[in-house]
Amino acid sequence: MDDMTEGRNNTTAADGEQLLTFIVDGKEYGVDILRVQEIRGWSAPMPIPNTPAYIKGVINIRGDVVPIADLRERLRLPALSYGDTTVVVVLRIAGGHASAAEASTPHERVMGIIVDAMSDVTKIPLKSIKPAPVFAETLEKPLTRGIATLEDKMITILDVDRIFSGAGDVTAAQAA
Amino acid sequence: MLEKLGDPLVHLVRNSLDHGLESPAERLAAGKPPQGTLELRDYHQGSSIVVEVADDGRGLDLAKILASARRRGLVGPDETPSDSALREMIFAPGFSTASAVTDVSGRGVGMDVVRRNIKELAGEIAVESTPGRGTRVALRLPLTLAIVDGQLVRVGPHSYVIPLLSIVDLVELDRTLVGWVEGGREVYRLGDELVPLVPLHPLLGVGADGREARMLVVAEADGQRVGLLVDELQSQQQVVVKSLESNYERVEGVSGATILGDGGVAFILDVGGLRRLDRARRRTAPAREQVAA
Repeated sequence: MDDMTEGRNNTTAADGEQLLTFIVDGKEYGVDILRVQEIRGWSAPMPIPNTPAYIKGVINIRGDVVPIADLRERLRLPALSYGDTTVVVVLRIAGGHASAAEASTPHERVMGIIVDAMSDVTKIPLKSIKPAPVFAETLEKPLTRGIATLEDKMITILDVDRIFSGAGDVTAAQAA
Repeated sequence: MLEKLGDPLVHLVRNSLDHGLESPAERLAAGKPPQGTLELRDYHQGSSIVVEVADDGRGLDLAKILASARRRGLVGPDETPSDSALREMIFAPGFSTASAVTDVSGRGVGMDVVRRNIKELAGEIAVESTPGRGTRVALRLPLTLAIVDGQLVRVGPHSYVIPLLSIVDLVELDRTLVGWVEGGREVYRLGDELVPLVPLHPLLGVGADGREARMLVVAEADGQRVGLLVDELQSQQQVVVKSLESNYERVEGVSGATILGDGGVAFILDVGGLRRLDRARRRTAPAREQVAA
């Protein structure tokens, strides 16, 4: 956990941060490129029973069982059927609790997010990254880590560790 | 798991080489070939995987163990423990019979640590020894950590693995043998026994009912039998267990996942967890999804 946070600080501590950006519902989002393990085409996942709807299931990545989440549904955007340009961005996520035996050691999980299409790899100057305004009515911790304000566009920077957390909150909200 | 197994194995091999195997001269005198044999073997047995370290050396010297145990006060002067109790002594913390510490072993930090490591893996350790013939140490580890014999079943569009160990019987559903109790709960007559029917479709979130289910997997968990309704029986095969928790989290009713021959992922079902899911679901939503409707 520590070294991952450090890794992130290193990128921000320099003159800027390198983002992998992608499109969801016509908007551009970005994640720290150092957290990206790989980018894959769409392949149908095996659904996991009794999980929040945005968790689409697990896929086999070279023998590793990797859960994937639909970012549209996670962001509460309308669903879209998956097609040729649908892409799975495989991320390395901090934390987790692998098993009792490994509980003492820091653990890194591998998880994928489904996005509409890839966009770019961009270096964002540090001064262009603004914190996201806090909307008081949301109880959940925000997924947005900041917003990159460039001359011609804005990119919403996601906190990858938050994408898969708060799953319980969402299920509770849906049940209520 | 491998790193936890590595140290104990190294220790056992060292023990065999140092304490077990005799010098070529001693071996010749005992009528054995001058070259000693140390064997490492692994095999499945029931629900376990067994790793064996066996040598054809002198065997455990029970007299020496007894003397050493007496010296340490583990055994009173008048007590004469059985051979198996003496073999058990080698697992006592700090126990050693070696008269001198060598490069290879003899420091007395040993078998107790080995046993502790194996216990941490939920395994067991057993020692067999015949004087003059050799020593065999067997590490028995639960197979759930590695490979499972499974029955592949189809439920809706997906395949799942039910461990053969929890399966009692596989029968084709005969709808004339389905009975009812209150709450829409159905039971199946299996010889003299009535087993509760559990349609897997709603529990696994694939389709609302089990109307099209044709096969019954009679399974047992916590001493209770259930009839799991599935669409089709597929092959029986050994599957390598992959953790779902390492990248996600624990999911009730699922003990792990595996990769099938076609590269797809299949979940390994946990019968005890499925029973709990079924009970919870029936409490919250009194269902009307009879098979024999």
